[in-house]
Amino acid sequence: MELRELIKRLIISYPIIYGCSIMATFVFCLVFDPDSVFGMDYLGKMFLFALAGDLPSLVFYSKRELSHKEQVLRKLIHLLLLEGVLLTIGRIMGLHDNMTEGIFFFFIVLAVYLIVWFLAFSDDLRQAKEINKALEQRKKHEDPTI
Amino acid sequence: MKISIEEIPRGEEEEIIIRCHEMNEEVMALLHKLKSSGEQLSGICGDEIYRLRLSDIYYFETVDQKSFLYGENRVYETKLKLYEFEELAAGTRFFRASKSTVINAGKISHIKPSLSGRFEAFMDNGEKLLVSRSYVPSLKKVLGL
Repeated sequence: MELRELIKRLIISYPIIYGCSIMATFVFCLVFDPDSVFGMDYLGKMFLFALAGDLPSLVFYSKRELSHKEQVLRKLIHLLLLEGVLLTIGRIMGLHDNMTEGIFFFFIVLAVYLIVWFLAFSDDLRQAKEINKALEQRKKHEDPTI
Repeated sequence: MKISIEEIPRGEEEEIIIRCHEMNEEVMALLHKLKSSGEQLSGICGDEIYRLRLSDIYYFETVDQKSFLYGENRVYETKLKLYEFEELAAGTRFFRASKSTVINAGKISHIKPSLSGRFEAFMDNGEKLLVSRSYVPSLKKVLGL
């Protein structure tokens, strides 16, 4: 992915990650600490947390077109990097304090990642269906020489 | 729009007359399509130079600063740069599919999304090409979506 396109993607995904982080906090606290109270500083911390979740996407930067295999490999590296960065930042920020919470935190990040991937893939399937329908229509009705 | 076709004697030159209220974008696009459909390109295959019709080309690709035109069964080297080919094929069914390829949408059999987050275009001749997600809107535009 080119740097310009990547930066555009980072800017678009930042508020989405922020929103997902707040939702994930809600689920996490609902399970482990339903009586917890958050101050204003937590919202500020989440800005940094979302940035930490956004930056691993830089792994997709490439000057040339990546092959299918390279792209899948980078996705895998991205997931591992994301888990590593978020677990570390989460620990520093006190989002998880012990092994059980850490494992749960890991699976929340994984679940969000898979949900986002599934939604993107579903949208791709919808677009492909729409395009295939148009291709079929064109082949039926148009002069192939134009 | 009304379409009239008039058959003329063999000796007379064939012509297309467009009667319109104004030269709007739609008319210009139609004009470009008509002009480009007969456009011929030169391609080198082995020691021979071939004249190729734009509509017979499946896709254009640049590899290691060399440019190639892909026909149904043959690959032709060309002197054209990617941007030059894009300009030449503007208004036709060709669309930019990645950093290095321009594909003829008229030769795509179907497309499907890949797990890597891109799309795979299956061509009429059985070839499989990649379409970057960022260029999918270009394909949609060519198809009028």
